[in-house]
Amino acid sequence: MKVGLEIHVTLNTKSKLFCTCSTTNALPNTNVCEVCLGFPGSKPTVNKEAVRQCTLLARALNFTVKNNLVFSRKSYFYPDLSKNYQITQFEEPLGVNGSIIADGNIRLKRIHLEEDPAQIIRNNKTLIDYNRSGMPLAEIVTEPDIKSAEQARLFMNKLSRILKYLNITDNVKADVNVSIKESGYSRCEIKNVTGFKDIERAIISEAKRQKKAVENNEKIQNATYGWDPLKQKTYVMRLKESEADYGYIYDPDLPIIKIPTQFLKEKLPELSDEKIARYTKQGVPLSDADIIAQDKDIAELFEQINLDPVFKAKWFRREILRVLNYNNQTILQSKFTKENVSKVLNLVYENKINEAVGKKLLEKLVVEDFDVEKHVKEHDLLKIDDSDLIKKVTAEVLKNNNSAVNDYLSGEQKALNFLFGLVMRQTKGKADPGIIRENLQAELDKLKSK
Amino acid sequence: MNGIVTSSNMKPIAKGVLSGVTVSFKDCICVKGLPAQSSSKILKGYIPSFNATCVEKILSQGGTIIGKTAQDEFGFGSFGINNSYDLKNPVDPTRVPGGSSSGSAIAAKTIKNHLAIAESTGGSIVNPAAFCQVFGACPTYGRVSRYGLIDYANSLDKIGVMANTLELTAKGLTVISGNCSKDSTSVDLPAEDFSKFETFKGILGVPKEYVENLSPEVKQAFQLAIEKLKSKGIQIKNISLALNAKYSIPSYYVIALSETSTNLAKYSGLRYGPQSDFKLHYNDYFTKVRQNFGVEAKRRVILGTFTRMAGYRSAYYIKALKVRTLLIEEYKKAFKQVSAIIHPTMPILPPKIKDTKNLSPIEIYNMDLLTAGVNLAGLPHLTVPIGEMVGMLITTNHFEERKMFSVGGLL
Repeated sequence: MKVGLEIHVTLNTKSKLFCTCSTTNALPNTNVCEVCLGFPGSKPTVNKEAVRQCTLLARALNFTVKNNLVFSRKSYFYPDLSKNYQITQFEEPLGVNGSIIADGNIRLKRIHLEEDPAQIIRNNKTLIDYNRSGMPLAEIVTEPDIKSAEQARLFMNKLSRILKYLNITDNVKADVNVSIKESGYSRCEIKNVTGFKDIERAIISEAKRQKKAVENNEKIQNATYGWDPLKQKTYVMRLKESEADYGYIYDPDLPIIKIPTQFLKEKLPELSDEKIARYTKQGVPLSDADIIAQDKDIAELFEQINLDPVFKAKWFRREILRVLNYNNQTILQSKFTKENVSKVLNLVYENKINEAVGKKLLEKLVVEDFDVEKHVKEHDLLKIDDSDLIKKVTAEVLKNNNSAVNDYLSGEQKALNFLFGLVMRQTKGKADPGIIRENLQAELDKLKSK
Repeated sequence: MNGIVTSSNMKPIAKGVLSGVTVSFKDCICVKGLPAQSSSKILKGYIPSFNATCVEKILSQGGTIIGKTAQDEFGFGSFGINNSYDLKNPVDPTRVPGGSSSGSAIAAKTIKNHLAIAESTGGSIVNPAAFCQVFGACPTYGRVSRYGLIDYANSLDKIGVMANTLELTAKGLTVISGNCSKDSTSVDLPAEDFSKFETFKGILGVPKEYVENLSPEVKQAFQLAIEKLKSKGIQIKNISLALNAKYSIPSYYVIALSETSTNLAKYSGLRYGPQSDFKLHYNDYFTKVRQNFGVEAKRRVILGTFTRMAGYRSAYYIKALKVRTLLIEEYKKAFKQVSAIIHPTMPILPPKIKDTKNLSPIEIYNMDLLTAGVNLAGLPHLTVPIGEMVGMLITTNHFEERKMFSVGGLL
């Protein structure tokens, strides 16, 4: 299978690409002005922040960034285009020859800036919402280097991480090209698939459809398909596609300008792959490092906590992420702080509380910040490492539960767990489970040998 | 007829150098609340919700806006006959007023103490100004903000002025000049008062190709003007603009029409202008609405779409851009020899209205021979009346408007 993607990323700017209208959600046709409505007499001016974000994205994706910013007009008639041409980049895109490593090298042909058309809403009437008209997009075009749906997922996961690390939303739409070996790589295009999950599903669905068609001796025609997200199926839009002629010209309203050097020199944040490499060097298992680095905010919290990396990585992966998922919260939404997480992990690491207590504390902290040390003291949660006390409790338990002891001695292994639970309960869960087990076993062995 | 198609009485918001002056705007310049149609049926009913930058500047310098002036549809014309207004030359009513800023020239000629704000793409200011015997000034491209100008060809369009005196022309151009954040092609230069020019000293160049095929009246008027300049001790030098003479018109039309065919795409009856039956498929709907374009507009859309089509694009559009660079270089070289270039603005007197009916589009396009080059090069140029319905065109290097007016002061 060969898959190529044209991915549209909505950039994270306050205003639109060529006017000062807001990009926030609003009632239809309220974030509009003469420029994004294409009124006669209006002129576009470039939003510098969009250029900055696209430049950083290009650099993060290993593109060669061009010196000049060149805009062109792409002409076609459609009701969602306020000017019946789209301002995009044609002759000279912002970046060329990028790449993403995702189970092999996926070559990226180009990245360019362009304006989003308005949104067409179809119910019983056709309505146009110009709030979207002029929203800033970065379009990333890959070579057909993706060979499977799994590789596509890996590729999109990498891209999604980079977008998030650059504080660009991973709100994406894509045109997906799929062809299979069995048909001699006859290409079909699926237009406008929204979201990384559906892009993967569309690839799987389209490849399946093509395989079946080949098996039935049908010819795969070059065609354009749509994606039905409800039925999770592709459908035919246009058969026998001819190459559209967009009659590109340089946009004479937007003179060619140099890309500001500060955008070319601005320090990129450390990205996911670099973090993973650094964590694994510190001894963190790859699977832990990968999951922690998936989310920039989690990775940042992880790095802020000064503890043995292997230990904290285990706790982040198993506990912090579990608690966040359970509460359906991001790290920023949660009440986790560098201070409170650090205290809990340190108490566990220093063996002052046992793991069960640590987990409980995290479950509480995710929804409410409190003074961990004070809480531990007030609720008397410090670990009992007083082995005399444990011995005493164990002896009491054995004395008071004759039948369970007898069960164990006659070979009933389960009885051991029952007794263990009783000792745990009597020590309010604060005693070291290892020491309890050790003690219990020793006492029982003594009884056995009698 | 005074050239005005929509009247208004919009008072200034402050006193200034234009206090007491009435001002009109070519129909393609947006004045908030006044219809702006570019004299086209397809923009019937379009009332801009915003002011062009030059409108704001006029109102803040004391000008009273008395209306919008007639033009050739979207600026497509050299005579002022490509509209429904039946315009006549105020000097000789049997003749055309010129175009495309026809109404501006008529208003400048017929209204007392009047400043007409006009627009030029390939000669649309100086052509009618020369024919109607008024002063007309077109600035360096980028000197005056195009914000609020309904586009013909954006890389060529320039807003300029016309008036009955050189002083008011210079003052008017001074007022509307200046950097504007809403127009990316606007240049950031310190303000200059163009009306405060010194006596011109320097060499004037006359391109030999531009004085070859002149009508007798134009030739005579130009010779007299040359004599006058010589009598004031000005040195005149023959120069050559061979490339411009040969290639400025084809290059100009390919670039202008490529751009205009994209500009005119937006007129599809969705948010302004005449509408059609919304039950139609959008393609049919657009087609029906776009029948409101005049014949010349349709011709230019078709030509301009052809010149940028895949397969023809590099032979026409891209080639024309390259030629444009060569033509600019030729002017730049000329300005190393001379301070300013002079030649007649138009090669002939304004044609009789009845004679224009039989002219082919190519014959009309060729009327731009003497003005296409300076417009392609984005050079500032000024026409000064030197005889009945004859003007002399003065061109200087980029951003040398003041020198341009100082040459005008000699005549």
